[in-house]
Amino acid sequence: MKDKSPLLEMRNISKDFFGNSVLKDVSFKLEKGEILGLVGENGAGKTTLMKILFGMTVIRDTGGYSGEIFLEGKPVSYKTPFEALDDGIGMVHQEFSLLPGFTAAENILLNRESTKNNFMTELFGDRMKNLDRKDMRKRALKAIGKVGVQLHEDMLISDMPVGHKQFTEIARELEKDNIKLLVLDEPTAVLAESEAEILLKSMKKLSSEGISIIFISHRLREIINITDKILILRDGRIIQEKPTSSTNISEIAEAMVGRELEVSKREDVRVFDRTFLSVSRLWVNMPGETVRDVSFDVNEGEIFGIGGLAGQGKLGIPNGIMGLFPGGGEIILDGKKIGLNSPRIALDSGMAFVSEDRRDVGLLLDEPLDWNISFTAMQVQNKFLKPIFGNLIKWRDEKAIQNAAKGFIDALEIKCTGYSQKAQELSGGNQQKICLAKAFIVEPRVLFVSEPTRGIDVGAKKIVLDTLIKNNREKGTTIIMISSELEELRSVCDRIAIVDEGKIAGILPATRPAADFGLLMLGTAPVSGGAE
Amino acid sequence: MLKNDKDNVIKFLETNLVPILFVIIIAFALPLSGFSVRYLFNEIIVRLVRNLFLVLALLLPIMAGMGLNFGMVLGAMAGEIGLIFITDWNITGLHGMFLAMILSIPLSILLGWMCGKILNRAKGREMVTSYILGFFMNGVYQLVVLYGMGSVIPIASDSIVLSRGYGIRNAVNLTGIRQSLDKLLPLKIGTTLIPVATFALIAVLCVFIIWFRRTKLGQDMRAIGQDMAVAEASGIDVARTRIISIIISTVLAGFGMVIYLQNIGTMNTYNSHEQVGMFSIAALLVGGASVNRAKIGNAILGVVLFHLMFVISPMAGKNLIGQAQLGEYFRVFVSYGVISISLVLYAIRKQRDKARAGIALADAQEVRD
Amino acid sequence: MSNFAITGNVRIRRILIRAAFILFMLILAVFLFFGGKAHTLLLDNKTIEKEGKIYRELNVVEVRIGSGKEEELLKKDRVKIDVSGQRQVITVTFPGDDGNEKIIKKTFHLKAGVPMYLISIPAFIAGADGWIEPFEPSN
Repeated sequence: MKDKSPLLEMRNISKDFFGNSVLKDVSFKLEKGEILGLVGENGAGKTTLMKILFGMTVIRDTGGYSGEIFLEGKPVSYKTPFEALDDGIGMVHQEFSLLPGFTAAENILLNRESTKNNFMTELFGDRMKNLDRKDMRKRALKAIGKVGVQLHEDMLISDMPVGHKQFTEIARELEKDNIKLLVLDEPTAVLAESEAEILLKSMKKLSSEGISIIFISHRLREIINITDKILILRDGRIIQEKPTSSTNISEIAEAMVGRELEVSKREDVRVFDRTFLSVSRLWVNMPGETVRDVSFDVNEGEIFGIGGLAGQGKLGIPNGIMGLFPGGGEIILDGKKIGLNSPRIALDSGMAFVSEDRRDVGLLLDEPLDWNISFTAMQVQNKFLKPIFGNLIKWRDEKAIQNAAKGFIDALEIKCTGYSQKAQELSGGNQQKICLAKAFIVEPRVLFVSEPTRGIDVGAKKIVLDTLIKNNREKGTTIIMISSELEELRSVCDRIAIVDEGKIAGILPATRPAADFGLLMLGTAPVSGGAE
Repeated sequence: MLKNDKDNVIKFLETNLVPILFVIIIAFALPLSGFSVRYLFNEIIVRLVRNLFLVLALLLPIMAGMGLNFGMVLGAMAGEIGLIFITDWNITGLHGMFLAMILSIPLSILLGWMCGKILNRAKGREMVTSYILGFFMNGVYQLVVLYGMGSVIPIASDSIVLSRGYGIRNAVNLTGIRQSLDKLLPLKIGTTLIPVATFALIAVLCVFIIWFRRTKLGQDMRAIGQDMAVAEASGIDVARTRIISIIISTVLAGFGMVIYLQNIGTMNTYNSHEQVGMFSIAALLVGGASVNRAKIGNAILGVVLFHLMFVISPMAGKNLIGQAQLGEYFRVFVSYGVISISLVLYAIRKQRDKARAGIALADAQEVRD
Repeated sequence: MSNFAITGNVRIRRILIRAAFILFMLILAVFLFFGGKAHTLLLDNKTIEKEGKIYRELNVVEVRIGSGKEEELLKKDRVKIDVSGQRQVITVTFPGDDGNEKIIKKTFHLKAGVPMYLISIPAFIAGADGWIEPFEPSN
């Protein structure tokens, strides 16, 4: 029996978040039993596309989407993920949604437990039914069998190696008997190579049984090995839709990163002769941005870029060095060893940090601008303090604070009514400039800037980046800039390190073509002659 | 694996720090007090009868991840109001006791539902919210009992109404139902009277709790207790389930209060429930329970240790420094102390679990060297 | 969830069962109310006059309510007894005219709204109608 309509068709899907367009006219078809590879950089729209498919409430709350979705030829539009689940669409998320204190079987059957009636049911409703452990075990084993792995159904999730957790999640989706389409979001990211092999094998098996799979991954090798068709998204558009057999890794990488047309108009590569900051074997326990083993050297006066996809650990590096998250390893600044796990030590040794989290970490939102700018300098360096009664009491030097603030407001073109305006009243871009001013004022020897242009508009972006360059050139500040936007790094930095799975995948001069960096991000073998 | 053994011992000490501390204190104070074993056994039986049901009422909300239900005070109030009515109506014996329980049910459900609703708005801060809610409802209780009863709510009996004509007296005599359950099936062992019927009722509750854990609702509560977001994502109605757990706890606390007061025989109208909340929670914690984990065994051990301490500390204090007040002082001091220690330990443990991922990372680095 | 779809029949059955349960609780409460209601009985052995008839006090009489303690009443005695429940049995033992002991046993009902009753033993023995009357303490 041949079904004419494809299992899933998404037609002309567009979506914007308050005028900021994230998906433009995306259309694709998925046949029964087909494996579709979905690739793209962070922010390319992969996640949003899947959220639309699943009817996540965030989509409705932000104005819905345009376009149509057909499941087996019938138009569908889900209001909640539960409706999608009822129609046989399952999703395995990047983060585990498992209960650590439950066994594999309990997790696989969570809220779909087998139950038996008893006398209390008549009185207090169905939820008073007893669990039928025997039947639950049977069903769990069947689902585990479908995945095709060895997994003990009575094992607690907390006792499991990470790979088994992933398999448990997949088994949970497969346990639903009406499952037709499985979305796997970066399922192999946490797996060891051998485990990933098993997973890929079971995906093949599932597809041969007629279950369609959308496979999101940044490991291009896996994508090439397993998928039937590859869909590449960039900036919310479909860049390429090809059968896997007619493409290769470097073509995909180039299509993903794109922008090969943009010629970066950079001055010649600068040469440095003195290592200033040396980081070795750094690990940082920052949830979602774990750093496993990172070593790199930064020269005096250099702008050093750190890039990589979200969740790979690039944000963990500055947060760890600055002591905001627990970590270990060795940091040597200008020949002196710097202790970890203490923001105070980091600040005292002449390092400053402009956090990616400017609303929570960077700014005192309820305080005026001059306060915000001078606060760290006052706390750490005793600047702007007048001794009174021979150093007994220190008084704030309001005049000096205000003058300094005025200076920065002019230099950085901060749009505000004056130095006494409150920080929360400024736009994102101007808040970012305040954060920079706050860092500049302490005249750091090393400045970490994390995601400096996140969430600010194009004009402000340019000013922020120019400000960084200016400070570097004029004051000679060594700057380490962390950003998800490769182009931004390439336009500002001298060298760029790419972080992948908590480790440095490679360090390349910024003048290298974008595709080289793209390959590093995708966890493929470093390009020859890559690392310095 | 020597390191592993050591880790296990440390972990055991860590999770059972409070009970171990109590055993040590009691071991020191016991000889000082000079009480006979027979007397102490007798006392323990009495305390178990009085308090165990109340302590067990706390278990379900802990299972549902809502922490220690300080809101059980609401159930205690409901139980007391039931007792006021049966005393006024002059209903005696077992009849009176069970009628008081039945009367407390609708009130407990209403108060529990309200408490649950409020706690759903204060997720993650359930304990402090329910604690303050207990104080607030105490005010409402006083308003109703002190001004409403005898004026708006008809109370006929002169013996429980204040001489001014409305409001309930400070102490209500429960002679009508005094120990009616305890003396239903007395069993004498030596000089100790074992109230078999009360223990049977407590056993029924234990069986219910064990059985409840195996129901769909119990499984849902356990799931919510571990991770609300995951439970929600799997389609479990988290808000409703949490409210149900609080309602059940409140109703059970109401029953427990009736059992508690039938044993004592007089009701301290305005104070009984306040103390019951704190002492029950302290007892459970002394038994080795924590904010997110409590078993029936913890409740039993806790009641025994906590009350044994109360029984012997006045005499031990008297024999040691000649002051019996020490015991009374100890009661309150120890209760708050135990609750504080448990909360702090819980926070530390939570932090440590978070750090464990980091330790694993560090270990991974070391192995390679 | 689909797992827990409730069909119409089951729904009606459950509503009925729940209604029956609530009804049962209410009936139980009523039963407990009346069954546990305490009354005070005053047993009186005095000469009284009722509707023109005089009932003479006895020298000695033994009275028992239900399975309670046997009370011995001498001339002019009045004894207070607390009982609970509406249905009570009174057993009176007294020396008859022929010198033999006579026993009269009778079941009677108390009204829930009346806390105190006066029982006149001489009237009871004589089989008079008004042997038990509500009693208002005059204080």
